[in-house]
Amino acid sequence: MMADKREILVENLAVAAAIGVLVLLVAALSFVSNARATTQEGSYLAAAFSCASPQLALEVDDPAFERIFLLCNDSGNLYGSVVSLRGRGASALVGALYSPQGDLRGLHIIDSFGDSLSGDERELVSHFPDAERVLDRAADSIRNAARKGE
Amino acid sequence: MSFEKEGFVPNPILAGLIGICPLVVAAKSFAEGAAYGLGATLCALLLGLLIPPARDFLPDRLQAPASLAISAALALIYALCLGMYSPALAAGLGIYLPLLAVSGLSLVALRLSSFPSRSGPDGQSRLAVIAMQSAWFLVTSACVGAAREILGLGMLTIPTPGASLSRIAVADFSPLRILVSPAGGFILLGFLVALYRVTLRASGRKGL
Repeated sequence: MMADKREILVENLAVAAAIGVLVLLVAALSFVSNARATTQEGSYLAAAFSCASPQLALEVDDPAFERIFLLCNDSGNLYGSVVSLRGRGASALVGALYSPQGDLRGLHIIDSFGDSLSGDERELVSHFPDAERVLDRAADSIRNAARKGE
Repeated sequence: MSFEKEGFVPNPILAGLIGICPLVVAAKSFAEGAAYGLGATLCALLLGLLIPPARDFLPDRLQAPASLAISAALALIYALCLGMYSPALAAGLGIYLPLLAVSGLSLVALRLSSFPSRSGPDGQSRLAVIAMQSAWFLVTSACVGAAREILGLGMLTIPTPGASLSRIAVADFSPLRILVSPAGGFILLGFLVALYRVTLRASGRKGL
């Protein structure tokens, strides 16, 4: 009886260790993927808004955007994020530029599926019902990032 | 199962309705359909390679959780790789990418449960049957995505790496815009399932 229990415990531990190795593998890949995504998003924003060397200011746990960048251009310190929008039969990856107070300064369509979009805020809101809420959440996160950066 | 008798492998989407929700909601273009189908194919093939040997030394009570853990890890790894290859494609498929774990596992579980030995009566190995079924899945999801995009938007998206995907204009007009929506996806899939079953019946074969 005791030997059976010990055998079951060893089996359970062996499987738990194997799953642990799998988790470590996924975590390592996730680390690489996150670093690459940070570089990519920074370069998209730098190209879209003509800002040199964007710096990661804040990582956010939001389904539509994950990172807030500090961008510096002629008009001073600004913040930007790459926002993913989804609608009925349409999706878009949009670069959004904000002031440190959370005012939207510009939008740039990185990729869009469905209709060709110009980057106008009203047009985006009419295509994607949740765009207004997503952009508001991004503004909140940017105000947080600006407060932390002060 | 008809494949056991005559080596015929039914289409898992059109005959078994496996993975149809991500297909009709997320795979609205050729690129998304191909990316989703490729993910399910790779997951199913790797699971087909990993699960049978694991079954030999794992006790019954641990087989299901271990299979699920491997499947979820493979789906996550594919989602991370797709995000690195094309962020736009990964953002388009969104929350449906983790569901690859279920589609991949379904493709394998279906075969393992009906194929208890290493090879079937016709000599086909389990992995060969999983590979054929996965190929069906990949071709069908890519074709459904392409049909929805061409008929719905008059364009074709190519899964190129980088910030934005390449798009080819196929027509100047959008004849059936509804096909890009989930409802249109279900309608198209309904017609395809009916067509597939009529074809099977005419050739005297059975589906799943």
